[in-house]
Amino acid sequence: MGKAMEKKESPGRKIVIVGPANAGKSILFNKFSRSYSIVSNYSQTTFTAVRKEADFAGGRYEIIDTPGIFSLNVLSDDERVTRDILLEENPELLIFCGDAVNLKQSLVLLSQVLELSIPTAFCLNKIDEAEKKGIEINTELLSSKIGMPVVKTAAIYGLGLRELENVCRTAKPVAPSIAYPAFVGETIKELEAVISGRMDMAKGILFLLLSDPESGRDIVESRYSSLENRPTARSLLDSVEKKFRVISRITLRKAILNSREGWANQTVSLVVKRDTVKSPTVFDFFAEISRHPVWGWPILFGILWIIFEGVGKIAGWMAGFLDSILFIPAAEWVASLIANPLLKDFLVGDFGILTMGIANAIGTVVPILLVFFLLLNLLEDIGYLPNLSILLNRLLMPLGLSGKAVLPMVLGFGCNTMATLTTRMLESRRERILATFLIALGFPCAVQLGIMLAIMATAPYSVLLIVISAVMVTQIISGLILNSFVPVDKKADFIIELPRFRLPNMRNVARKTYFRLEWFLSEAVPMFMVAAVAMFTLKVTGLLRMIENALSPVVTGFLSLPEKMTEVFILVLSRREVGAVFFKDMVDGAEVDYYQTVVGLVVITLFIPCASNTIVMFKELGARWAIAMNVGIIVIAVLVGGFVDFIIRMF
Amino acid sequence: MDHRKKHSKDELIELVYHLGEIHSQTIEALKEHKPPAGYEKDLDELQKEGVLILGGGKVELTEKGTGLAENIMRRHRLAEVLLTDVLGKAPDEIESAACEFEHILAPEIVDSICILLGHPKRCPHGLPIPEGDCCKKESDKLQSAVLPLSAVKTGIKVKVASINSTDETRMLKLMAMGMTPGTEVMLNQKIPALVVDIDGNLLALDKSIGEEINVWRPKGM
Repeated sequence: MGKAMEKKESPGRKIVIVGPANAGKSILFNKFSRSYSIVSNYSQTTFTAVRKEADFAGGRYEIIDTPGIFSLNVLSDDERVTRDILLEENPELLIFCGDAVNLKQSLVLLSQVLELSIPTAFCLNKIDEAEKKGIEINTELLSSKIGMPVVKTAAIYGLGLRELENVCRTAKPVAPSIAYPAFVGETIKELEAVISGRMDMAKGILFLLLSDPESGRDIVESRYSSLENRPTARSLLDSVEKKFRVISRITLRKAILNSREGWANQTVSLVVKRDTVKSPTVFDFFAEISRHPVWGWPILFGILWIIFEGVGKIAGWMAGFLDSILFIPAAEWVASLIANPLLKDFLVGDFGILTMGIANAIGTVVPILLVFFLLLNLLEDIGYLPNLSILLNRLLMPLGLSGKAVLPMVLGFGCNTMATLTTRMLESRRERILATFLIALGFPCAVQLGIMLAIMATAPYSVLLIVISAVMVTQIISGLILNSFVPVDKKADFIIELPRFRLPNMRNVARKTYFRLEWFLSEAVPMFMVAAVAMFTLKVTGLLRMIENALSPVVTGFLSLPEKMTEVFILVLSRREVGAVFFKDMVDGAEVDYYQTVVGLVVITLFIPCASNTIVMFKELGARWAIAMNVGIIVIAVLVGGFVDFIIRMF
Repeated sequence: MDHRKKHSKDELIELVYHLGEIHSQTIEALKEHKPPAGYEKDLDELQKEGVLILGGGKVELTEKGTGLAENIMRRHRLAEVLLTDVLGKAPDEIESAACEFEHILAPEIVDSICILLGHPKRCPHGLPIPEGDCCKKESDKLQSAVLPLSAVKTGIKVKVASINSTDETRMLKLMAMGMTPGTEVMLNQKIPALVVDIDGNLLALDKSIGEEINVWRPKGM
């Protein structure tokens, strides 16, 4: 296939794990590929495909974890990722990860996936949760109804995985026995006549071509992407279009969906027995009050307070402890060994590769991240975060966003780059632009946030209040302005699935924290060291002086900050947290006063996104928006900083 | 004018109206759509009556004709909704019955059906239903058998009747998430957003979306 050649994909054999949202695909992936893809108790944790080569079911395969989907008809960008993999990468085998708690929806999707005529192994995951809820599924009967083996799994505990792997060895394409209304069948026949000889397509693709013109166009164009085939693709699409101009696509879609629903309903009614008395559990009670219009707020503020205290105090204490017993004595010991002043400065000076590169990264940042991620992962595993969307939905509407945008924003506290990628789950480009901007503007990443909390925890409470209000007011005003001039392409629809609260799985939480820390260490520590070397070079060559002089009207004049702040800003550009750590050192060393602390924190929070976030912005939104946002953000940060400086000095 | 004659003219007007909807108001397109027998004569008569204009291979409705056609289409498409949503027939089973319906419904009954169904905006084939007086006034003299989900109290089980949205994507998405006609749902919470329990799964949606979901009125409401 032309496309495959162009993409230079490895010709390897592929297994794709596919299924509805929050069914546990990532856990299966982790177990089968012996690697780690982030797992949470909410939908759409995986927003891009995760790939890993592994030995599986007697062969060497590339195993692909995909974002959860409701149907192959694409609604948002992350669903597009999954559909494209299924249709364009010729997987040899699909592992369909069904959700035992929600069998009907799983079956509706299964029927659509089976119609692609790809060998499929079917597992019914979360069987443990279903049993707890009193849902009993007769898998033998289900297996005979759909004509393929059904493997019960509880992937989180590793149950049923060996059997699933065995089933994968013998998986075959299966055609679901769905009775479509006569006119759907006739239309399909007509379509087959139109395209006969020009394309070889499974029934599922024909359905898509019929009912979803946008998807149909994508599919045909990608299959005929090479230049000489383009006219064929165009004429094909034109004839399909002509043929079906009169028939409403909605009719077809509804009829097809209704038939699948009917089939799923009938199957479910045969194989599922459920305890009719389902009393709400204590978890349901907590879930309800956490999104209550009144009680939801104190709970939210309580959680924020715990994070603030935890990160500020506990992590601060851990960092101080590590410093006093390990890093400071070590630095002094190294310094005492070296006579050459330049080398001494290079290793343990202000921008020393050991002091700033390693001691800061590990000594200051790791404790902060440890506490922060433990708490965040705990909330994720319980299923708390999506409830925030409900609480905040109304408040986000004036900004042109729906409650759905809360998830990427909360993840923005983890890492802005990741959060920008997560905005893929939003349906319109407009929402993505707005959310990306707000994330880049005022959301510190986890490490930066942690460091700033640590700074604020030792300062008077008024610092916290002023910084938060300044950042929030800036966010709201710039959000309103941006919202008024980004063209409306589609109203933001707020429809999300809510996970049930569950007892956190501590192993999952610990594992996730470990992997997030490991990711930081491997990714950020080298950056800290590079930044240290770069700054050292700037300083030794005198370039730093020149930059400081050039920027001093803004930094020392307009913002009333010490000259050294320029160094912080340069560091923030490369990586937000490196700058924040350096600023913390300045605060700890009493190099800034109260006003300067406030202004410094405000500017760092609002300041330009780090290099990797900017790269992602370029990729996801295009150069025009990425450049405009970066320039806009610098201007906003400096102006707001100056304004805050002016205001607080009046009191 | 005998009864049969009136039927075939009505059908012709409907057809010309439909050609307008798909932007191909030509005689050629008319022929492709299998017009009723003897349509040439009917066309001439309708032109004399001031219902439509012929010329240059084109056929278009006049203002008077459009009014007439909207009336007929409204009756026809409301009948279709009634047959599919209430009686549960498949869209391809109902064509002939709907054709019969459109001729026998008195205007007041048409409005009553419209109110009963909650002023639907589209027929089962996805084509728009022209508005009647009742839709403009949103009058509810006759208590409707359906009501929007957003108007139901929390904790009461109700059955979804239809999704009455002009936004195709939204409709598909709701259906894909399990909000399909016939499904039993229960509201858990209404403020600040609706939380709906569908078969033990929770869906959160904005109130404005809940207004587009019609459910059968529960007893005692």
